[in-house]
Amino acid sequence: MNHTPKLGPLALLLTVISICLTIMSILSYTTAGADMRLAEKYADTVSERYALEIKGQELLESADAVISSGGVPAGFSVSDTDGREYFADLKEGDLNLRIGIRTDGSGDYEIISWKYEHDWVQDTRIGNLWSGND
Amino acid sequence: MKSRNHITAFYLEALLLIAVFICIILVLTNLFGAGIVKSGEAEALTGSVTLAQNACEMASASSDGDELYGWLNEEDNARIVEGDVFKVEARYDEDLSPDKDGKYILEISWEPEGGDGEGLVRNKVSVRLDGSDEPVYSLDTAVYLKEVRS
Repeated sequence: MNHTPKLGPLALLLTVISICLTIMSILSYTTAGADMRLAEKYADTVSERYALEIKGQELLESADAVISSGGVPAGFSVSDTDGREYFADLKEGDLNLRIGIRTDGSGDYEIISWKYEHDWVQDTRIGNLWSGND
Repeated sequence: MKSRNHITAFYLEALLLIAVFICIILVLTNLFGAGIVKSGEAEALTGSVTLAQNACEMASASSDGDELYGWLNEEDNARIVEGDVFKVEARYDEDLSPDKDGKYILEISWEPEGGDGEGLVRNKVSVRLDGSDEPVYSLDTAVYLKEVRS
């Protein structure tokens, strides 16, 4: 009786190894792609923020001369508090910059607000969860 | 004779199996390599953005180009670049630490629009890797300087 060597175990082993390596390589590539997308999103966010910073600084420059002469600078709205606070809202993408200035009436001013905010809408859909009322 | 034929068939099948396995390995190696390259690009971009952002904040805190140079020159890693516009070049290593032989090269300009140390100052920031002329990331910012009276 002749015993011929079987390829079965070797083929099975190589098949399992191939499947594992294929899965690992696909996961490795997709993870690297996700890292790249995240890095690009970070870069875009920073560019947007500083584009807004430039707009804010330019607005401050144009407002400076007007405030020094006692007027209301263009682009600002007077606050309801005491009429000496001015606020301006600038927008770039979904990022907002709120600039607040307080004057002392003698032409000098101080910056009371330089705040970056994202547009955010509260999600009021809570499905079937109990809201706490009733 | 029949046994010899069986053994030959076995060796041929084993050879074919190993050849297919090697082809699969070659394709997967390319995929692994592409993943490593993309990961390296993501790391370079993230590092460049962080350095550019830090430089912009230093520019916002400076009142003139020399002060900006003072902020950037932490470990003798910065120099003033000669040219029409005041520019500072600083180098950082892969950990984003100041290093005069670092692979990240940051360039920031100080371009005042007014005189007498007051007015709008524009800053152009670019970060590139050592050995490359093309910037990985560029950023512009500005700061309005005004004498502060106490």
